[in-house]
Amino acid sequence: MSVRSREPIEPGDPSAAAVGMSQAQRALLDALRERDARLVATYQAVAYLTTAEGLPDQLSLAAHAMRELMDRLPIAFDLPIENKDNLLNRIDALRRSLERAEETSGCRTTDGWSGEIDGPLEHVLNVAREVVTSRKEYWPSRREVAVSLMNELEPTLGRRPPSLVKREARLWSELRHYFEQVSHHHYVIDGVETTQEDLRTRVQALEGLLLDKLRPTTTQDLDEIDMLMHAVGEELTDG
Amino acid sequence: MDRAALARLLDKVRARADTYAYFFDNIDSAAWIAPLRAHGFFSDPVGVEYLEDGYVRFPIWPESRALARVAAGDEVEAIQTILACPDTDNPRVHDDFLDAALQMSPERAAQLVPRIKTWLKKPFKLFVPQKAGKLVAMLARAGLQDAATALAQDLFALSKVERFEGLSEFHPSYDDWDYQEVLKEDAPAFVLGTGLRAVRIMIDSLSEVLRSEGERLGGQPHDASFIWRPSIADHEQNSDREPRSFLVSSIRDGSHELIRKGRSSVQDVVALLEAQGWQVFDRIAMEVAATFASEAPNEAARLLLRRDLLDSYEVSHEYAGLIEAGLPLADDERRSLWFSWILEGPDVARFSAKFRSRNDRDPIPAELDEWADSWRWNRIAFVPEDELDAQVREMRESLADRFDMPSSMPFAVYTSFGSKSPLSEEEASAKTMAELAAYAMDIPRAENRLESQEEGVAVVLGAQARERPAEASSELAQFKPLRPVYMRSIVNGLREAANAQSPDIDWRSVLEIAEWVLEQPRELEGGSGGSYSDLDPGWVWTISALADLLEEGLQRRLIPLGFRMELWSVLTALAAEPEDETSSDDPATDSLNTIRGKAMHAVILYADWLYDENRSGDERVRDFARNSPEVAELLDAALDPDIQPSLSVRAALGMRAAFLMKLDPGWLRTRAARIFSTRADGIFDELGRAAWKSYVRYSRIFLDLTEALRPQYEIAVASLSPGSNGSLTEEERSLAEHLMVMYWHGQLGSGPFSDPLLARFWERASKPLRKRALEYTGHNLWNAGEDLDDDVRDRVMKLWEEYVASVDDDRRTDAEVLTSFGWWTRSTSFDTSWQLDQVITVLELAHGVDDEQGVLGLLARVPAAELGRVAKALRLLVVNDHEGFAVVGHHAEIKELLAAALNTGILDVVEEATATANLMVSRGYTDFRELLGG
Repeated sequence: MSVRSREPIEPGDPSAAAVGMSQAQRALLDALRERDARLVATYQAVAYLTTAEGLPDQLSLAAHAMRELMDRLPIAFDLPIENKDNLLNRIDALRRSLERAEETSGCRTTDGWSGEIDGPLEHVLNVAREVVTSRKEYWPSRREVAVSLMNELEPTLGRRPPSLVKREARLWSELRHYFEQVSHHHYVIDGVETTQEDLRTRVQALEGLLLDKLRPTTTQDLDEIDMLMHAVGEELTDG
Repeated sequence: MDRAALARLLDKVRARADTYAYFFDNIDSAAWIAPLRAHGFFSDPVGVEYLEDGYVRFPIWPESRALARVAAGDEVEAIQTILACPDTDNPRVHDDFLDAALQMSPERAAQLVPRIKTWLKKPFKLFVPQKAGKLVAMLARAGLQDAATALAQDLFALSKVERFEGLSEFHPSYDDWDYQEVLKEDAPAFVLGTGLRAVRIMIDSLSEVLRSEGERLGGQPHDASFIWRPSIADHEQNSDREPRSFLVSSIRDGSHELIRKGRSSVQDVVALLEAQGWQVFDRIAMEVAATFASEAPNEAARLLLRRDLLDSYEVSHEYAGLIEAGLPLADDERRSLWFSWILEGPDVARFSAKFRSRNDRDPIPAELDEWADSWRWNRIAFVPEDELDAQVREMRESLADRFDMPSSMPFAVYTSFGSKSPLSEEEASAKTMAELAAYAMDIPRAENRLESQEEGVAVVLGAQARERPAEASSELAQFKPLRPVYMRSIVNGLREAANAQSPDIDWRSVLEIAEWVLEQPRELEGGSGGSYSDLDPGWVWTISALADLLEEGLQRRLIPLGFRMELWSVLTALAAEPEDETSSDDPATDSLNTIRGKAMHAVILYADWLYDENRSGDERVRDFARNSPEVAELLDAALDPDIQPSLSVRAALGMRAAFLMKLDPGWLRTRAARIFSTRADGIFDELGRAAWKSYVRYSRIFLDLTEALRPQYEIAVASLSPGSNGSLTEEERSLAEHLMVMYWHGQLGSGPFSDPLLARFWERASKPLRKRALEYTGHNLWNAGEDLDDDVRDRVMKLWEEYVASVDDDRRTDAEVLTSFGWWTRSTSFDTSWQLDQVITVLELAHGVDDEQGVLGLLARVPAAELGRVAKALRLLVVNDHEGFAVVGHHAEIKELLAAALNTGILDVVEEATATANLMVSRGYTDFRELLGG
């Protein structure tokens, strides 16, 4: 897992707000508040719990808050998330349509189905098509939600190729998996017992990722790209 | 190579879409292609985005764009990269790859042809056809005939699109317009590069269409081309929308060009065309043979002597051209043979059979002779004078006495538009109305409007009535014996004169005629009204025109008071006319179009006319009983559904509610519940709804009226459907607007919830309707300019603040309603600080705002002390701009604002401005880097 952060986030920065946030954390808090004020308390909890050493069950509580923040972000960005009710309704409609076809379709035989598709059967197929096409809308996987979120977080209207977005979504999912495990008191992950430092590193990775999208330092980034392109480009041309 | 630098660079590039796009937009050398491919780039094209509202977006793929830019630097690497790239439906990627191919050598670019053929079959194409056309031309010029024809085959193909049962059209797999442009632009180079092979490709595309249609048209050679392509040469009769026709032009032009350049002989081209067996190709062959008759006179003569062509009326247009150009050049033997055929005449047996099938009898000899002579004339008329021998000349002269000389080559089908009048405006103006009536007497009756001379003459008479209303109105009786179309048109002309305030109309005559017309049959035998026929069915349309004329006369106060009795007699008769059966589903519209509805409008205008005249000193009496008791009696009867069940009459009453309030407020107050009648459950019944809809949409609003109708507003609000999120009806929109006007003027308290009617509206109205209400208030604020009263300003501020406070906790519910505040930002009557606060709140709660241009205008007005918040509002505006248009055109002002904010040196302000400038850079405004020292 690569950790990307523009500057080290120092949770104990004395100039920060009451919960002891660094400047970057405050910038992120502000960005989250602009998006959805309900994220503020959750992120404040993350910032507090991550540094609250000595608090009983601190790792699990901090991880829980972090997972909560991750799960609320797609909602804050109005992304479709799991909506089982709607999918169940659609499956019920498919069941009813199928039962009707079994009773009324001329294609229904004692052995199964045969013949040219008739009205009732066509209806079943149409309803089935709706279920299939609405699957992403009403029952997106966590990975699909993560991909949508990464796209939504882009500060520009442009898009990156799917492979780049998926790569980032994978990192997101790995982080979420980690926080979920720890929140459930499963401290041994991939055979290694997690530590306070591991947790902080991952929190910082996520904060860095979010801040890079929500408060991009684009000018600095482009300056650096110019510099690197120049250096690499010269070598490529000379070579 | 510095691998660490490259890795660091690619990390940056992959991190965000803006850095990714920036990097690829700045690649300027093909040397980057190989190392980037090695790192997985150029292998994952961005696909088509299908949006929720059914729209699709074709995202730019910066990688393909970069490739297009540098491909010429390393063609081998570039073509391998394109060929190795997985398929995509995104036409922007295809566009880029085609751009790359067009920079390469033709031999290299030809490798891409199989891929391009698949792109032409994709659902979205953008500029792929145009660029493929350019590639076809490039390949053809380079002599790569196989590649060029392989691509052209798909590019020029047409396929069948079913429209209605049994009817189909033929279109390319892309836009018809683009198809025409590609043929015009690139087919010439294709033809010159590949010769007749290119013409054959286009012939094949057209033949495919003809084969598909042929059976329906009776098999070869019939292709109905005389309808879809009346002339092979360019002509105004040709359709400019038929892809088949575009192909015909290209085949024709290609053939001409090959012959002109000596690349093919006339014989070869004509042989290729004739071999197809369809009329359209025979017609092109004839056009080519006629054009090049001097180069290949025998070819033209041979075609002239094809008996099937001579006999067919479907190819007659090109055959006539061939006669003109080819016959003079034919040798004596062939010319004699052709003339002998003309003298012999047509195949009479075939004509007789056709005649029998159409008329159920055999033609008499005179009919046969007439037809045969007409056949001869339509051919011999095109033979140049000096080519005729004595016998033929004599025949021609005798035919010329009987038939008109064709002004141009004949068309099998000729299309023309517009009704016809044998009488010009100028001629009409020289006649008296009595003379015009006598003239109209002799005009024959027609079956439809377009062919109707009656209609044409009536239009001329209507124009005369408009020009000389005194004479036209006093002579109306002259037109009694004629068919109604003339009287109707003259009455319409008089209405136009009344509309222009003409004082010359003889109203006594008009009213006498109205009495007479009302006694005439509404429908006459042989009249044709109905949905599809458009001739006057009887006198009913004249009655309707008279109702319009009287309404106009009353409205303009043109009718002298002395005609009160006569006028009332006509109006009551009009109000008793039968309900129009062909009414629409909108009673308000019907009230303006049906006789009963028009009569009711006229009755109220009649009351208004009397009200104006009935003064008591300076005071006008607002009482029907005093001014027009006959009106009160008629209106009361109209409110009895057993006597007057007409929805259009009730709609007229609703529409004229403001008049009724002005004429007799007491009457309206006591009748409101009957005008806007309700069911037992308190909701408007059908008649009441017709009146309400008409009132709320069309009536002007006055505060005494809205106060009098408050119970009706309560019913309308109670009838709203909160769950409805579809498009608003006009009735709903108007209700919201009325309530906002009432609120504006203090009739609904102060604050959105202080009056139960308004509070109930917010509760019952759908989101789009609530949004409409607030948006409408914003428009009114803007219109009010600087003149807004303090109490109005305070009231609307309270409306907004309390509304926002009520939804603050549940932004999701009302986000789209709150965006309407954008429309409030154009008003200069508020404290800008207050407006800025609201904008920031809305952007944070609703993630968007309407009228971004208004918001930007506000940000420019805010004092310098607020620069930090201005920068924040700008950032929120940009970050929530999902279309990318919010700041277009305001680039310089925004830059100036941010520069000022950065110069304040105040930490918070600088932080806001920095974040905003960075966002602008992310959005592609890279010159904002200057602000941050980049």
